[in-house]
Formats: sequence, structure tokens, C-alpha cells
Amino acid sequence: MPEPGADILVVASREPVALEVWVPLEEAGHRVRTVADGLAAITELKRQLPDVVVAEWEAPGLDGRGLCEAVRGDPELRDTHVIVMTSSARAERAAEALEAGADDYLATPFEQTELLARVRAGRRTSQLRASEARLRALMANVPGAIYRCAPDREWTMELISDEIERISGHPPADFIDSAVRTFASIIHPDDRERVENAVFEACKARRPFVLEYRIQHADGDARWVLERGQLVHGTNGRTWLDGAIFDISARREAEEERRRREAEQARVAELRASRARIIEAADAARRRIERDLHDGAQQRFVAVALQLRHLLSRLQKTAPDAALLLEDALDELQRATDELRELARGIHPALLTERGLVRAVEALISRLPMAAKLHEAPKERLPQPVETALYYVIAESLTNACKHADASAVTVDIGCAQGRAWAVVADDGVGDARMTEGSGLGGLSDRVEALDGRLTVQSPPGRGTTVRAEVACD
Amino acid sequence: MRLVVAEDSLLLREGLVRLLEEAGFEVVGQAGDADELIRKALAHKPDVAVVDVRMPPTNTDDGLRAALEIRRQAPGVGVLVLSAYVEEAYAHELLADGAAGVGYMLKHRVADLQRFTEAVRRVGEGGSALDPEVITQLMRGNRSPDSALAKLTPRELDTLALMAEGRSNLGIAEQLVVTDRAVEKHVRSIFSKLGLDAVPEDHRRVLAVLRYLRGDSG
Ligand SMILES: Nc1ncnc2c1ncn2[C@@H]1O[C@H](COP(=O)(O)OP(=O)(O)OP(=O)(O)O)[C@@H](O)[C@H]1O
Ligand SMILES: [Mg+2]
Repeated sequence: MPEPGADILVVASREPVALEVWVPLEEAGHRVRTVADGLAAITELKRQLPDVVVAEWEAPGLDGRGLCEAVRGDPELRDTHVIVMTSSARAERAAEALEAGADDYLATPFEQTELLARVRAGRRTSQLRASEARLRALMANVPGAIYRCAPDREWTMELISDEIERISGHPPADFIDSAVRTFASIIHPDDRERVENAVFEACKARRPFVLEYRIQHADGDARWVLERGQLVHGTNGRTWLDGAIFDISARREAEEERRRREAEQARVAELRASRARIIEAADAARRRIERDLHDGAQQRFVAVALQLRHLLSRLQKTAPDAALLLEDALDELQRATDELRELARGIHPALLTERGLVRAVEALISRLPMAAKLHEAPKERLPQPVETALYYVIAESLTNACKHADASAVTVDIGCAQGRAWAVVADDGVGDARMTEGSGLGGLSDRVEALDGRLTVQSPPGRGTTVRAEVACD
Repeated sequence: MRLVVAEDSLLLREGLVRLLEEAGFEVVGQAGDADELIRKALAHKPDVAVVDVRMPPTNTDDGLRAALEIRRQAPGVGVLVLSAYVEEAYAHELLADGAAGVGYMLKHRVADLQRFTEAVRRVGEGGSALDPEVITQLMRGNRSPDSALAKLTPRELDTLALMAEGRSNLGIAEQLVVTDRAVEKHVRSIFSKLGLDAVPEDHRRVLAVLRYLRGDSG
């Protein structure tokens, strides 16, 4: 099978020699450049690396030896395949040439076929070298440890790249031929059996494997690694494992962290939901109690008062003394009815359910013993839990403003936008309010937080108090 | 005077009916829920429907809604709404189309026989009857300084509040312990300050009360 042509640099000071090499090579389909001496050859090599260099051993200026030594000493040129032409009359030259770093030699005079054969072989070697160089570069640059090891329980390493030192804390040489330690010995004891089984199964099924497991770093900590590998069959019947090991501790930690965070968020959400359920249940109970009072005791009081009035109108004619007593009793009953009514209203304002937050707050304000103003209020009704929470915050804040603030004015704002609803109650009183556990305001923060909200109190001494509750509302 | 009485508590309804009949009213229909009330009120066209706010079916403000419905469909039927609480918001809804033939009172006032029957009668005659507590609430709500009401003297405000309760000049005079001539003077002054001089007397009273209740700034 004809191979594609190779790039060849011929170094020959004498025209006939140059021709003798150049012509057959070009005829064979190679691309040939020629230079007259070693120095020119170095310059040309630096300009563009050929597959093969064919050079005279004896030359003026920089001769074959000089050229070989210069090539081998230069890291960029080092891998170039150099064939030296030496006189067959002086056999020792061949040894000298190889000694100086030549890869091969041609004894002059030579047959064309031999020239072509040597060049072809040289080119193959140089290609192999190039691919090895690439592999080395790969091994050095890939962000993981590349390895080749025997398919045994020890993972006896034939080669493993330097990255393993960063991953495990042990130098790669430790693992080569298991010189200091086996690779198996650094796999975390809890993961060892799993890794062994997985690799065994994959090899048996001739599948590549991908594993995540822990290794023990020299510093004593565990590190997470990801390994990809595969059983490889060589030409000579040998088998080995080729693969790469990557440090994924950072990713694992991030995942772990994310899982922890998600679990925490789920816990907080559940807590909030259960708090919301508790508050919702309590609110439902309050609505029920208010209704029971209204339909039960309150109605009965009125009915009894009616009956007593009947009795009174009779007694007034027949027993005026008794009528006076009864009148007192009726007054007392009246006060009891009033108290019961205010109690029921405090337990749950019916208006809140029937006409919504804004009307309920307006009613609250109209019963307040001080001037208060509702500035802004949404036109639509808000979800019941939101209205209830904001109502109690406003009610408590207004009560506080009357009780503690010594204020001349208090304002209320209610708003709702972009999935949030809020209420702000601000007075211009003495300030210095403190939210304390268990008291009026403190008790409301639970209610607000259950709706993914926040209750804040700003109350600089002497500069009024602003209570703000903001909750989720969708 | 013909009445329909709507109240879901049987005990109370019986008591109310007996009381009203003893006071000389004719109770032509009784209702235990809002639908029955509307049906009977529209059928009997009574002078007054006495209505409890909280009634079935939902036991919230069904009675109030029914009262508004009756006013819309049969403007000649007066409504006297009774409630365990009086709410400014409900007062505004009831008074939206005028105070004539409208009453709104705390339920337990029914035990004050004279006051209650008086209220029923006033509503039946096309007047109004508002609970003093409603008035107090509305008054508190109307403190805005740019209101035309701000021009009224305290005495005129008292007079207007009593007008809102539905009282006649004579009734107001008794309550304020002044002569009815003095009340007439206050009333004239109120009409003039509210810009109602040109309006006929009956209408004027209602408008003044309405303006007062709504806290109009005009
Ligand atoms: N608007 C305010 N102006 C000035 N001080 C205030 C104001 N609101 C609250 N405070 C102060 O903060 C304290 C805590 O208020 P909070 O409502 O939590 O309790 P409380 O009103 O004393 O008791 P409770 O509400 O349980 O009847 C009050 O005792 C008062 O000293
Ligand atoms: Mg408080």
C-alpha cells in the first residue's frame, strides 16, 4: 500500500551526493528540501520540522556529529529522526554516528531501495515518537491521573501520570510496579469491595467502567475520585487496564452542600407550612367561637332581655319596687351583652371575613380613641391567611400606638405587588418600642413568618414607631 | 303598620314578633333565612322589613344583602337592619341610595322597647333610624379638616347627629334640652353651610344626613 509522501531534509555539501539522494526520494513521492551544511540544516529544522533528516557525516562547517549533537540537545528538535550517511570503507564511523545521537545510518554507496526502506522506517519511527509525545503531553495536561495497570487486585501500575500526586498525595513512582504501595491500598476500605466488583464485572462484559469512590489522601482525609477505565488487549496477548482518575471532591462537596441546603430548605418550608396550618386551624377555631358566641350566647342574652322587658312592663303596674330591681338587672344584662359583643369581635372580626381587610381596618380605625388614617389600600381582596395576618398586625400596632406611643397621629398603609403583601403602621410618638417574646408584637412574628414573611419594628427613641409586616401573597 | 320579621333564631324571632304585636304592629310574615325574607318582603310589600344581618344560608351578611336587594326591587319597603355589631362599612352600603326608609341598629337595642318601636315606626314612615353607635363611628371617620362638615359648630354637629338617628326637630330639642326654635335655627344653619338651601325640606334633611354620614367634602 503506497504511503503518503514524507517531508525530508537532505543535508549534503556536494552536488552529486545531494542528487543521488534527492532524485529517488522525489520520484518515490516524498517532498524533499536540501541544504548544504549543518548550520543551514538547524535553521531549516527550526523553520519547519521534517519527518526525516538524511545528512552527510563528513561535511564542512557543522558536520554530521555536530548536527546530531545539536539536534539531540535541543528539546524542540530532539524527536527528529536523523539518518547519517557514512562511508562503508570506514565501518567505525557508523558506531560513532549512532553514539553521537543519529537514529540510523546508510553506508555509501547504497542502493536506492535501501535508501527508500530506511527513510520509510525512519518516518514510521518519527510518527510513533510524535504520537508518544502527544500522549506524554496529554498525560501531563489532562486534569486527571492517566494510568495503565495490570488487571490484578493490586492495580499494579505500569505508568501513571504526575497528577496522581495532587490527587492522592503520593508520588507516581510509589505506584509503578507497586514499588512503595499498591494503588488498591489507597482506595477507601468502605469502597474497596464495590470498586473491585464493578471493575471485575465491566472487564468480564468487556465494557468500559465509570466509578465514583473515595481514596485516602496522604493527609489522612478522604477524597472523592471519578475513574473511567477499560480493559485493553495488546497484540502479544497481554491485557491491561487503561484509564483516568479525576479528583471530584470539590464537585462532591458542592453536591453534598446543595443536598444539605435543599434538605434544610425543605425542612424550613415544612416548618413554615406546619406553622401556617397551626395558625390556620387556630383562626378557624376563632371564627367558630365568634360564630358560636354570636348565634348562641349573644342571641340568648337579647331574647332574655326581651322577656325581662315584658316582665318589667307588668311589674311596673303591680310591683314598682320589684320593677326597679329588675331595671337594675336589665342594665347589668346590657353591660354584659356589650362586653360579650366586644369580646366576640376581638376574637374574630366578622367584617374581616365578610368585607375584607380594608373594611375591617377602617372599622378598627373608626373605633380607635385617637386620630388614625388609612393611606393606601389595595382594591382587591387578598388571600384569607394574608388578610388575617395583616389584620392582627395592624390591630396590635394600633392598640400599641394608643397605649404606649403618646402619639399625635398614626397612619396605616396596606399594599400588594409582585407576590408580596405588606402593612405598615407608623406613629409619631415616643418610640423605643421593643419586640419581646410572648407579648403582643412578638407573638405576631410567628404568624407573619408562617407566610414566608418578616415583621420589623423601627422605633428610635423619641422618633416614633414604624411596624412593618411583609408576607408572601400569590 | 305592616311588618315582615326575619331572624333565624326562633327564640328571638318569637320574642320580637310578640313585642311588635303588643306595640300595635301587624306582623304579616316571618322569615328564617335570606331567601325566605326576600320572597315574603316582595310578596307582602310591608311597610318595614325587620332584618337580622347574620342569617342562613351562609350565616355571614346574608340579611344585609337581602335588605339591599329588597330596597332595589321594592323601594317602598323600609328596612330596619339589626346586627350584633354595627359596622360603618355596612352603614355606607345601606345608605348608598339615601337614608329614607333605612334603619340600622344594634340588635340588643330591641330590649329598649320604646326606642325600638319608635325606630320601626320612623323607618315605616320613610324616615331613618341609625344606632347612636353607628353615628359615633361615622363621626370619628369624618374628622378630615377640609370637609364642609368642619364648618359646623359642635352644637350643629350634635343636631345633625340626632337628625341622622332619624329624630324630628321636637325629638332633637328634647334630647338636647333646648327649645325647638333653637333646633330649627341650628337646622337652618346646617342646611345653609352644606349648601342645601334650595332643596325642599324633606329631601334636605335626608341629604344633610347623607352628606354627614359619608363625610362628603363638598
Ligand atoms: N407604638 C409604640 N410606641 C412606643 N412604645 C411602644 C409602641 N409599641 C410598643 N411599645 C413598647 O414595646 C413594648 C412591647 O410591646 P408589645 O405589644 O409587644 O407588648 P405590650 O403592648 O406591652 O403587651 P400586650 O401587647 O401583650 O398587651 C411595650 O410594652 C411598649 O413599651
Ligand atoms: Mg401590645
